[in-house]
Amino acid sequence: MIYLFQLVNGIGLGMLYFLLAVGLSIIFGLLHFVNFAHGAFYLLGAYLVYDLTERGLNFWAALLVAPIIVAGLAALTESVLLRRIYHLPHTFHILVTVGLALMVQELVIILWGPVGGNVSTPGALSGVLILGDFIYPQYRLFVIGLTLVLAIGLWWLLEGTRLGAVVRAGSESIDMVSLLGIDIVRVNTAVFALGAGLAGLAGALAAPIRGVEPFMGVEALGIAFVVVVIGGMGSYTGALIAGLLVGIVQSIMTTLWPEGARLMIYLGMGLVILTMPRGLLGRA
Amino acid sequence: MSTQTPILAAEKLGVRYGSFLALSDVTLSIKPNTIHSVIGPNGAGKTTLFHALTGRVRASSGRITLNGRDITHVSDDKRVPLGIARSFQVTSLFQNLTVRENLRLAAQGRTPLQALAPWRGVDLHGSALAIADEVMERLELTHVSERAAGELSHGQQRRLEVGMAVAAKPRLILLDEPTSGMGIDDVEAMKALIRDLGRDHTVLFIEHNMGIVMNISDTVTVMRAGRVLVEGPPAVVRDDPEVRRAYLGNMITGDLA
Amino acid sequence: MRAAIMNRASLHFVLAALVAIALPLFMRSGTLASEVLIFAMAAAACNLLLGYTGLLSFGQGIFFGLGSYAAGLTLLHTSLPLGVALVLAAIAGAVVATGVGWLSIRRQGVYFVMLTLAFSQFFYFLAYTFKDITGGDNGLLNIPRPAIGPFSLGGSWAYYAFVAVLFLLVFAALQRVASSTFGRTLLAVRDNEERARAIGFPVRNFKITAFAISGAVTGLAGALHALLIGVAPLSNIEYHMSESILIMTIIGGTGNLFASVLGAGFYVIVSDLLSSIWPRWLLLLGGLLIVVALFMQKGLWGLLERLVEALPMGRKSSIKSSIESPIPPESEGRGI
Repeated sequence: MIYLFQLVNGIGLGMLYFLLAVGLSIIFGLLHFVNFAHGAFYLLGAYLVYDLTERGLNFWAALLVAPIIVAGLAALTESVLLRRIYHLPHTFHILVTVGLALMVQELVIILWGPVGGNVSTPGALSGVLILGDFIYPQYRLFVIGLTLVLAIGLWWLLEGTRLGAVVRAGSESIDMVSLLGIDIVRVNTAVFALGAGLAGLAGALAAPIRGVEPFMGVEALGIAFVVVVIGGMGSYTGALIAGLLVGIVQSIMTTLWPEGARLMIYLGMGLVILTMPRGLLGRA
Repeated sequence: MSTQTPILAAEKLGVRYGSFLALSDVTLSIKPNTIHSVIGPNGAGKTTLFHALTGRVRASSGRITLNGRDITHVSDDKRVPLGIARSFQVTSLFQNLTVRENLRLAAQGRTPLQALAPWRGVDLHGSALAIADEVMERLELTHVSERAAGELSHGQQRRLEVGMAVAAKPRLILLDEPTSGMGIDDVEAMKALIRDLGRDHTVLFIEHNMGIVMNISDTVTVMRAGRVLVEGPPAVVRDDPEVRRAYLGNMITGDLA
Repeated sequence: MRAAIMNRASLHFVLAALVAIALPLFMRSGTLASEVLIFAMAAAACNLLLGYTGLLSFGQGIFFGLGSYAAGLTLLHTSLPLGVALVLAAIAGAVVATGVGWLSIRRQGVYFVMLTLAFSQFFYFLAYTFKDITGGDNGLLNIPRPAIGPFSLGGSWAYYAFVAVLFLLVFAALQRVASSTFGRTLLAVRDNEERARAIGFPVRNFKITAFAISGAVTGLAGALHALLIGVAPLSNIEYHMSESILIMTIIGGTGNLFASVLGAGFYVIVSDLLSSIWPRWLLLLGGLLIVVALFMQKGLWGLLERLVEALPMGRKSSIKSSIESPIPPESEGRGI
């Protein structure tokens, strides 16, 4: 029973990891842009929910608004700064976004203090679901449900819509896409904002589960990297499978060796590097 | 025909990229101290052949032997001390380093483990520098020895490309389109250089310029669609009906001296 | 040409020595002065990877922290002398760096960088998990600072003298490595890795060796830091330490090793000045990193060069670096 509990935890965690990683993957896939500020978007999403709920806004509204604000800020940053450096070698992407992430982290501390805080789960979901012997927090089930819906929606967006086709085409050839008359500049901004918004949403969803603190962005970045390394950069399915794998392994390890659970993720990553050059499903 | 051991032989060599078969069933033997050219339309697999022979890509099937020794599974950096060196079709130099340093590195690459010792200074009178200077002279690049490779003219860069291969003091030099993008004068100079190299090396080169190919090659291998079409002395190849059919309108025919 | 490089290297060494001599004259705190030189070592080691080999490593904090723990554990639990503790720290740094390097270079470009960051997290959690050894959140406390031979290192300036000597030795050694055939090969690897392999260099081995050297020096720096503050804190092995070392290296400039001294000095001194005025000064640092990355790629050293050139006698100066493009040329990122 405890394993079922951890398995479900793992799925929930894994779906959050997927949300985190898929944004990074899409941004790299289309823009060939390495976004080391991705953790900062996660951080902002979490803190915005914290702030808004502290001010009395209801959780659902905060959950809706936070990722939108994050996406908006991301779009702004992209159009003002980041789009000017796409053509530079990856190292510059890294350095600039690391600088941004640091600034965001410090801003968070300035605005909300260094200690962090808690976000209470919304009243409607504070209870537990009881199915025979199986007892599980409702909020976490909600998270799983929502992220599954989002995953499907994202899949549909990428595979079934014109925008998705443009994104997929653009990741093959930017030039062709702009030759086809599509305003690639706006698409780029939209994609970047989408990726950031997903990270922000992950943070927002995670906030009631683990609270908020200013350094959660770094940990999120590390995990996003692990998932992307394992699943392969640029691959939706890779992010999904790897995210779930990492989440489930981490959760199950929590029963067997609680302190070592987080370590296991990185060990797993090490194994993958050793055995699979492109990760599970990625393109270089 | 003499039965000396070929310096390099490929048997049923195949290279596959995913589902795409870039090379299939290529059998080739390069006789020592000859000038051997490889020609064919774009996409014929010539550069892939070079990549396979030098170890830059792994052969999916078949065997490669160097002086009778099986090198199919030897990595590219380890083939250099065995006596193979190459130049690249797209210039690939150390752009920010000087000409002399480029050549010194190429010469040093033959004995790379010496360079792995972090305490060993650059031996001022060492053999690597001496070879570099020697190669610079042979290629007429001494006057630009201290200039960064990225600042050279295209023709000079192509010459340096060849120089990088020569500096490794190989037995077999692979030149991938050495004259690509060159002007007429540079091409003549390159032709003379290749002929000159043929005197003390075995040269295998890819070219589109038929003037050079027909003029200085001992053997010509024609490739198409990843396979060997025909192989033989220049005159035989030129008159081959298969070759004519494959090439109609595609070749720059040059004079045969 | 060798003569020209010797001049440059000697000049840089002289500059480093001048800094070591000048710090006590201009600074009130021996502890702060020691910190400058300690991080100068760490930044120079980082530069060996970044400026010379073209490897952007977010893992330097791993080796720094491990060096701190190694020295701390040796001095707290054994009666081995100080020198041995330092050597052990360097060895620990080298060994782990070899492992991390070996694994990380199995991937290229961005993946490599991501891997070093992930490893940095791994070791952080490792240190956190094994709190019995590392002291967890509290770190290792009360690390003694034994005398070395007849010299007591108790006073902050006495310790500074010790650190300064080590710094100059390490700096000279790193210079030797950088100007050796090995170092030249690293430059070639940075410039065009594919070609380096094609001409016969086992590039992987070179990168791993560079990692080992960098790890050893960074480990030593970590050990000296633990001795300086008497604590081997968890923060020494945290991501933020890796980030800081990298930022110092970049702000200083990746063109030569002395630039790293400038970067470290800038970081340590400014952070000391600003943190008492405004604790969130890192906000500015983040902005500075962006500015340097985009507009000042030669870092503080580049600024210094331009300043010297602007002076009337500066025209003839020979302080221009041997490496021209500090940030490694890589496969381009695409986009509009």
